[in-house]
Amino acid sequence: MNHDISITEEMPGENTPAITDIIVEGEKIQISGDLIGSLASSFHYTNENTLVDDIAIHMEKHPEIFILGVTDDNGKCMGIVTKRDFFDKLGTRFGRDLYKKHKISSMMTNARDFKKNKNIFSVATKIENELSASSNLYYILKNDNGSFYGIFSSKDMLVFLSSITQKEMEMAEKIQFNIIKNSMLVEDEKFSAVGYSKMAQGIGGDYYNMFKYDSNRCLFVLCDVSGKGISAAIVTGIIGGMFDTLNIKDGMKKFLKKMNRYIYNTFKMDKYITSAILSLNGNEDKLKIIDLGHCMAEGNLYLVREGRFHKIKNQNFNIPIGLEPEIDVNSDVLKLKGGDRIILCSDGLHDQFNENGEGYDVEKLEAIVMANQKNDLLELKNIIVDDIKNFRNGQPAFDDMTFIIIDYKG
Amino acid sequence: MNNFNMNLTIKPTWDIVKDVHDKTIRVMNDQGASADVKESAMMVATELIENAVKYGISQPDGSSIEFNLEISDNSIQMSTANGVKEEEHAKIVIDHITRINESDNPKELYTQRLLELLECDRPGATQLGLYRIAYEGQFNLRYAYEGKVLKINAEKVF
Repeated sequence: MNHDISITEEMPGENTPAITDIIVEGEKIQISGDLIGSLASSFHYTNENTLVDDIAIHMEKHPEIFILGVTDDNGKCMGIVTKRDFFDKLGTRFGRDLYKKHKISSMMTNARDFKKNKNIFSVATKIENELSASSNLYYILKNDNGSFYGIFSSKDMLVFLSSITQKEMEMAEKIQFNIIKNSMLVEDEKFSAVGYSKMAQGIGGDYYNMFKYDSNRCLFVLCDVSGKGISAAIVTGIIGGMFDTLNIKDGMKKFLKKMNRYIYNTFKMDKYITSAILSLNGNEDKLKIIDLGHCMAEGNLYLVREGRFHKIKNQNFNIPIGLEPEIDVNSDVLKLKGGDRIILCSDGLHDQFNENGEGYDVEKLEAIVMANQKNDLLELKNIIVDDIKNFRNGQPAFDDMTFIIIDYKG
Repeated sequence: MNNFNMNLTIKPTWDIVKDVHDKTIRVMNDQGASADVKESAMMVATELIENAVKYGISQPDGSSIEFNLEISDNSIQMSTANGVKEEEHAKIVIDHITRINESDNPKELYTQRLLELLECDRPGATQLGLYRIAYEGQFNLRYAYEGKVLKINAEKVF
């Protein structure tokens, strides 16, 4: 049976395709980004009865054609032929002579098909196991009436999913930095404070904030959610919302007990939060320290006083938020002196490593802080950030890193 | 630019105008702001803080003038909050901001305000700064007046 086969080549700005022969380039339709049809990367097809030799001549002239749909007389797609397989077969000894009078249907392979208006993510779920295959797999897209629309590949799907993940991550990062500022500067008559935060993976599980709630009174909060990345970032959003609506005058301990109950009941110990909360009272020269498994007298809280660098060895520890259904909240009080500089950091500041696997330990922090005692807080913040970056010497950040520095004027 | 927040609680003295101006420059430099953005931010910070010092008193709860600067990757927002000496003063500021917001030609409004001041023997509270913020800085102005505390907010979205 002879067939009249036409080729259409889409002309820019024209809906009516030009007609040639042998291979058809189907019409590309503007399809929404959520539908699988938007992933089509090839629209070429030919009739099942077309001769291999005719296809070979045509494909040699059109190197841009890398795959073909093979359709029956009703336009229904029966299979596919990749350029690579096609010429591999023709390239075998006597291959061209052997195949040239064969119909293209003799060389086609089967491929799964999907309606072009299916949701991309439902298709992604269906081909999930095939996406990890080392070779690129092809899928047929069909119109509502079952006719051939186009072809997409597993690579097309992976590129799409990766771009979606990238966009989502960028959006999540943007949202997180509406909650947690990259840096902050807060000043009152009795103190100045600077804060800085940088997440290792763009988004992460550190949270900090500074809340002035009365004349010369300020609350400094630093929390470190267990784990990293998106799951930890979701918890920081919750923490941010809770602290933002906190009425400090209602009592910090009551608030922390309530927060603990919520985190424990919601995350069932999958997520917990170590935290240090410093409440500065400039009217009484006092700094109240609530340590919820964050410092434990071991580090992360330091004092520079009269030219000496000290670890603050607090005595009253509390367990992290979210590990037990109920917690007690105990605190220490540090009597402040004018000129005191207090540094509170997440453990991520010390968990920054250079190419030799050495960490940015307390001694390194001490050295840079003591060498810059005369610098103001904005300068010191930048100096510490640069020092850690130089120390890492091109190694990626291992952990989220946050710090708060308070200068007490007295 | 990164997200940044600066919050200063300051006594209403003339010294602090320069202090806020200098801190704003440093922060804008630190955030890598372009020359245009930096210049307009400094002008707005100065105008807002001058306004607060000139016409404000400490807030009724005993705290001082509150200056806030918030920078995100697509906007800059500055605000001052201060107690007002007389209710009438808050009303004047609110009237000027309303006039600015109702106009679709801030340049014309600025020129008009200049002419008004030239023709006036005793201009008193000129509020010209608010017109500069809207016209030269192209910031949007908002206000809130509650509990004798006047808050003026200037925001520019890029």
